[in-house]
This record gives sequence, structure tokens and C-alpha cells, in this order.
Amino acid sequence: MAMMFPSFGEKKQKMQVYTIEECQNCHDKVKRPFQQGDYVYKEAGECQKCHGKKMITMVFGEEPQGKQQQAKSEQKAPPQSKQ
Amino acid sequence: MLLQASAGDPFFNSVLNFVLYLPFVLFFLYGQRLQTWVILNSVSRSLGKLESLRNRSKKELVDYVVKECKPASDPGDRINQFLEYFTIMPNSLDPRGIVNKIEHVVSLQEERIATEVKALAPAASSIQSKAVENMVEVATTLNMLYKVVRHYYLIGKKTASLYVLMQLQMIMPSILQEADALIGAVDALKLSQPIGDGIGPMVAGRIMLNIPTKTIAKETVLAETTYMSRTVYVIKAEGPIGTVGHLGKAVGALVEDMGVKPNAIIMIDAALKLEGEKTGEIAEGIGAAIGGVGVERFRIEEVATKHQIPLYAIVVKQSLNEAISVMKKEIAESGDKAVAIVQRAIEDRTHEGDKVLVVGVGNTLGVAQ
Repeated sequence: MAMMFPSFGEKKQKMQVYTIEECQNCHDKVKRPFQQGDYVYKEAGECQKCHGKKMITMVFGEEPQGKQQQAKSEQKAPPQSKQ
Repeated sequence: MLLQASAGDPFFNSVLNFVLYLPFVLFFLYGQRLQTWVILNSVSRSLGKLESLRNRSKKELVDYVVKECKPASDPGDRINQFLEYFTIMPNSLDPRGIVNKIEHVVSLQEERIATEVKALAPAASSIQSKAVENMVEVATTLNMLYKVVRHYYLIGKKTASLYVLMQLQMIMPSILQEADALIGAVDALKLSQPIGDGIGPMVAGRIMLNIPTKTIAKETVLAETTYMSRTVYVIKAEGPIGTVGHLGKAVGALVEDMGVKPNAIIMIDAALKLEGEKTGEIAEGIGAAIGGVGVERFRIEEVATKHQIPLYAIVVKQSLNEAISVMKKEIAESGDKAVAIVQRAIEDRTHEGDKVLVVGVGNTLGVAQ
């Protein structure tokens, strides 16, 4: 039934926000969920691998996994020509 | 069976003709009313959505102030009153000196909002105050959008004017898109997360990493570094608070007051993409890449023209929604590419010993330096 009446416009889903911590020495990157107080270029403690200084280099939002895969498959599908 | 049986009956034929032609006659006489009624319903639904978005933004603002800023009294009434606050732009019948007038009014507006927020939440930190200021801006814009749409809806309803309602119905999708984008910004503002528009300050911040900065204008910082035997001056709004800084004044202060005459000015900003363009795509061009009311762009263009400094622009494409919502991965990942393009531009367009000014344009919420 739902397929018979497709909804117009996108249904927006909340983005999941992640923080990327990067070691300034070995450039090892760690992706973790965003925590309040995180900001880009904030010092993020010590690297567990080389004991170098870590820094937050990115904070970004990603669409939830399911929706992302759906968007990718939609992008890959070639446009159907109507004849 | 019935039709076959009564095929020859003239009375039945008349009734059948009447029934067949009635809808056409009704539509001919009342078609416009019917259309008006359909449009009224459609606009009414959109207006309801707009109202719920406006209420949500107001509620989010009140909740944030109560939870995070701990005000002494209930901020609800004061916020309601504040949402009706307006700014009258200067008269432009005689355009001479209009930029100074606009700048005066805009800075007055900023000061007024800051004072009001300080009174609302005296214990708030600078980051929280800026978050409240930005959320007030969102709530005020949504309030205004709702009231203007409601105004035209009621006029259309009162006068039963199809043409007023049709115009309203035609622009409703754009208005709802803008309202959706604004409400999407609230989450990022509350948590001080970088927004898409922050890509300019993010690139500038990366260039000025580990270099001492100094304040050159209100909420704007300057750093000096070297790259390939060139002196590079970098200007951006002071993060991680949610501000766009005063870049026009900062460029003016560097060139006019400090006597630094750069051989090139490179500006990095977010730019609205056209439908079909990819988010995070980078484009290069000429001119001052900066939005807003136009005062900052005027100041930078004036300095550049006076001193014959070439202006280069690097923009990262994104939609309006993406520009004011939490920064998307594609935009964040374009930061490294943009830094490489800035470096290449410095190498290609300047010579050893030259001075270059790099300006990161945008809201630096959640992006330090």
C-alpha cells in the first residue's frame, strides 16, 4: 500500500556525528562518536602507538549506514531511458 | 441492460445528457472556487508545518537557555518578546555612504543581541552566549517566515484571490526547504558542532596551526607564517565560538594600519552549489569570496582595488541545508584538498619574498586555530 502512494520529498534522518583524532607524529587516525566539548584543532591527549600528541582534525556528520548504502546504490544505478 | 432497455426513451436521454453535462457546467461556474479551496488546503498544511518548526526552534532555545545557562528567572517571556525584535535597514535614496550606514546598523544589531543574551543568561560562557545568539537568529528568522506566509495566506483567504494563493503555493516548497535547513542548524548550534559554512575557517585554521595568533579585529585573529620563502598572513574568525568575525575590518587593519601590502589575497569560503553538483567539490575563481550583507566584501574589495592587490577565491560547494547543518563528511574531507590548492596558488601566483594574505571566510563554530 505504501508503495502505491510514494511520499514526495526526502524523509530526513538525523546524522550521526563523529570526531576524528589524529596523531601529529605518526598520523594514526581514530574515529569515535562526537562528545560535547569536542572542536576541530583541540588537543586530544596522547597517541597510544607512539605517545605523540593527538589532535581533533575533523568533526563531521554522516548519514546512518542503511540510508548511506541506499543512496550509494541509487547513485550507481544508470538512468533508465524512456522510449 | 437498463441503458439498452431505455435507449429509445427521450425522457431518459434528457436525464442522461443532464447528468453528463452537469459536471462541465459546475466546473465552468465553480472551477476557480474549487481550485482556490484546493490551494488553500495545501498552503494551510504547509503553514501548519512552518508553525510547528517555529515553535520547535523557540522551545529548543528556551530549553537550551534553561539547561545550559541557568538563568535566574524564566526566560520564556523575554525570548518571546525578543523574537519580535526587528532591524530597519538604512535608506538608500542617496546611496553615498550607504555601506557605513549599513555597517553601523548591523553592528548595533549585533551589540543589541549580545546585550540581550547577556541579560538573559549572565552566567553563560562565551561559547554558550554565541550559541544562544545564533539560536535566537534561527528562531527569529523562522518566526518572521511563519508570520509573512500567514499574512499572505489570510489575505488570500479573505479576498478569495486565487492569484495571491497560487503565488504563495508556488514559493512554499522553497520556504519549507529554508525552514528545514534552519531547524537542522539548531542541533549543531546547541552542541557547538562545526557547520558546513565553517570549511573556510577550518582551512585557514589548518594553515595557522601551532602558530601564535593575535586579535586584529573583534572576534578575528591573525597569524603570520612562511611558506616556500613567502610570508603568509592568515586571517579567520576566532574559534571555536560561533562567529564570522569582522574580516573586512581585519584586512583593512592589516593593509592600512599595519602597512602590510600583500601581493595576493586568497579567500576560502563555502559556496552554494547548483542542483546536480557534488557536495565538497572545490572551484577556483577571482574576486572576494564572502557573503553576508555586503559590508565585509565592500571593505575587502576597496582595499584590494586601492592597493592593486589580486583577489583569488577558492570555494567549497554545498547546499544551503548543508551550509548551516553539521559539517558533512564530504565537506570536512575537502579541507585537505583546499589547503593543497591554497599552497599551489601561493606557489603559482606569487614569487619568493612576496607577501600573501589567506582569509578563511565563514562561521567558525566548533573550529579553533
